Amino acid sequence: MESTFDAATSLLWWLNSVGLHFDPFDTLNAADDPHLSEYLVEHEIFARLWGNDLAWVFAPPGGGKTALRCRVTQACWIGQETNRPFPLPYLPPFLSWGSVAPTLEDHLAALAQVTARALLLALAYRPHWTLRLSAPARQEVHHALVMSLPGTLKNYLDLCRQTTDLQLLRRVLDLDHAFALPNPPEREQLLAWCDGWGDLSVMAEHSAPQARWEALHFVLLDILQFENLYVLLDGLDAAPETSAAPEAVVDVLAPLLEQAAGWRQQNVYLKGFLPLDTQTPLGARFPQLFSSQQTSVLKWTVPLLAEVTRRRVDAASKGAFDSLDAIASPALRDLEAWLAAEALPMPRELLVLTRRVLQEHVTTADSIGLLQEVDVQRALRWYQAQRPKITLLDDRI
Amino acid sequence: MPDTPLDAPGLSAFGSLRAEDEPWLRACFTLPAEFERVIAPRSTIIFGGPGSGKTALHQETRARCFRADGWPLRLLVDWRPAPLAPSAPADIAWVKQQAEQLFDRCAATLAEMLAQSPAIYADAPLWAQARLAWFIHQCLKGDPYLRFGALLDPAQPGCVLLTQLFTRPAPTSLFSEAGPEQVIAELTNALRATGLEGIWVLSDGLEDWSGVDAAAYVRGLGAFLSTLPLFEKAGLIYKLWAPLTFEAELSRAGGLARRRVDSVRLQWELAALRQLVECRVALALGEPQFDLAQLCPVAEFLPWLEKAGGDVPRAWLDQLAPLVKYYAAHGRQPLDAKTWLRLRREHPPRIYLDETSTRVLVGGREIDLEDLPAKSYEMLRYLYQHAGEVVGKGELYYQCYLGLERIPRTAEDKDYASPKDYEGLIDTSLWRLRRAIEPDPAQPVLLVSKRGHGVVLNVRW
Repeated sequence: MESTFDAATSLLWWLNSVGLHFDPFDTLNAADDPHLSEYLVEHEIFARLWGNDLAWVFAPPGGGKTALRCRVTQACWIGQETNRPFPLPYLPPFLSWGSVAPTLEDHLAALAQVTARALLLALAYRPHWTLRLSAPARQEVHHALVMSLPGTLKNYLDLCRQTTDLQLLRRVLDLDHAFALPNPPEREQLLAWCDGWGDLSVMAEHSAPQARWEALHFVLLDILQFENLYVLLDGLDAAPETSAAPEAVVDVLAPLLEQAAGWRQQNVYLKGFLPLDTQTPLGARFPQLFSSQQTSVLKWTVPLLAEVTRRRVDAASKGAFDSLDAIASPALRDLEAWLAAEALPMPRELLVLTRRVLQEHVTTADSIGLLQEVDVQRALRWYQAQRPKITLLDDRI
Repeated sequence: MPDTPLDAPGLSAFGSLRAEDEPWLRACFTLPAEFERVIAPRSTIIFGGPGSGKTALHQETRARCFRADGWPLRLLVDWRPAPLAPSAPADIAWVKQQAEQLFDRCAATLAEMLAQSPAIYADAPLWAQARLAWFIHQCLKGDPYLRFGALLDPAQPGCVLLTQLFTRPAPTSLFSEAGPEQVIAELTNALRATGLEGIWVLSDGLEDWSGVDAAAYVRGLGAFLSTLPLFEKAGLIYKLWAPLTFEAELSRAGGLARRRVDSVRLQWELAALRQLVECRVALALGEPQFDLAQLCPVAEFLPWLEKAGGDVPRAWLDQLAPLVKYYAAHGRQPLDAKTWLRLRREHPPRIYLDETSTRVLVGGREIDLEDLPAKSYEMLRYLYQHAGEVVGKGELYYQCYLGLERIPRTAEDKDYASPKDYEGLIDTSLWRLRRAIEPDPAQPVLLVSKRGHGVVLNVRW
């Protein structure tokens, strides 16, 4: 396919010339990053998130919440069996609702839909989970899926059969890269799975969101034998109202939070990746759910941020080197630490600044060669002029 | 579709100076410094002032969405959010309405593209064909026969396909409860399967609607930009060209503040501006290249042009227009100092004074009012209101300094002052004004003295 992206092309050409096989600073949204698993920095907060309890992480925009959610998701996919938690990435569908005042029914309908999408993809990646089930059990799974999928099961299976491309199925199901499970099945296994569903003309009767959610809960925990469900709440600030007012986020979450204690009894655990400014109002309204043991604030130090860069350089160079110093003039030393100290203390800001250094370099007339101090200085001037006016609570970050 | 080769425009290259009237523009297009970020495959909002080249950049971006043979590289959708009613809330309900309009526009553009290039559909895998057909059925509003009558003419290449798409029922890809996020995912993946690189939504002319109620429009646009699901979908990319006046407000919108949308301010460095105008002069004169020194070798010419044109391409071109026309009409001989002075007096830089925002623009330069005493600004405002009229120094003194409604004529009138008491004051203010607004205060072309009568402010509307 012909491409007209001079920008991407010239930057990629230069990156290749210095030994980087892809641009590790290109994707700012962690959920879209196909390489994320290769360079995720192990943050201490992960240990507090993992486990059978409610857990809440707070951070400002760009603070690494979504990357952490992806990390939890990936940890759920270790192994080929169902003896781990099943991850449900729940981003409230404000655009579908057309409002920021959802009822519990709205939440359950949305939750059932994302569960069905996630389940279908997971089953496609692990055909043996379906194929080993008895016919009645398989019928239960089929029934739960068709009740809640956004399209017909036949359509998804046809796509799968025609392409045998599970990445495509993942994208059509609107699930992020963390749902690309390791060790995908052989083509024959996948086709056998596609053909193993019996009569697809059976349509589900219309049922209430509660019934749909319970059917999926039953399938996941009782039929497929997952230990727990982790409901991973993210994207709460994705609507105009919620991006500006933390109280609006509390109102959105309230119907779900009122279920949290009961769900815990059913092995369903809410784990929230929430905007920093919602911590106080949430704690005030639901003090029993937001105790200090259950909440964490994602903090980034300069050494940890520098590690973000180094991991990315290491992955993009396929292990050949792990520092920007390797592609910079000898006059520049510990470049990633310098940039980490200059950027707002959040991974996304560091990526923006680091990429700008590379862009400044390739847009200079004599761009062949190593990064120069002038590239860094120009990038810093640009960054200072337009960095976002995000309020940071200094005692927390 | 991409531009086709056109005849050289000749001196009309210095005609309207509006990109929308310049089909030959690509022949002399000069890349701004941030062009690579503009065409990068991520959503971007490009801010620029009047005459900064937003439309030219939009056209160049559009042209790069096609291969050299005219084959589309992506689905190119022209759409812009509608104005928000002044009293209406800029909320998610409003954004949802906009998303529905966007989908309608995408469906219409897809139908038009398939009508012109039916092979895109014919060569697509079956699953992608089914989804494209479903999307058109589901999201196209109104009667397709009324909207696409011309494309259904049997002489059109895609007539048969389009008729089929409109008449045959499409298999259901998504149920009605499915969200916009899933609709976008289905569409972009089906488009990719046809070989296209997804969707680019191009929004230009946002300022055209800002006149309705600029504040409300910006609020609505900010809400749209804050709705992250519309900006986080791979394969759906927005390119919005917005006036600079929107920048401060929109920079606080979620999408920009959270870096989901890139922000570029269209700026021109001196070397790029010079290259831009030299390319256009060369095109106008039918020469392979041109150096401004050929036009006017006077030493003060370039510094003057830099000051009058500021960092705005249209202002540079505007100042050059009469010189190039004269040069072409007089045997392409370089202009001497006397001729250049006469031409620039006949064609001074445009001056624009916005009383609401207290801004003064001269050519491509915004005047720094910090350096101008309040009374001098008042004087400028008065002269601007009486542009083209000779205004006496007494009138300036009594009206602008004393704020009188009636000018005293004789010593017996209240507040009368002898001219020798105020002429020095007015002369000093005029000197300050000239220093602020004239590209060359020693040879004024805007604020011109009429000996014995007063001064006149030359304003080209």
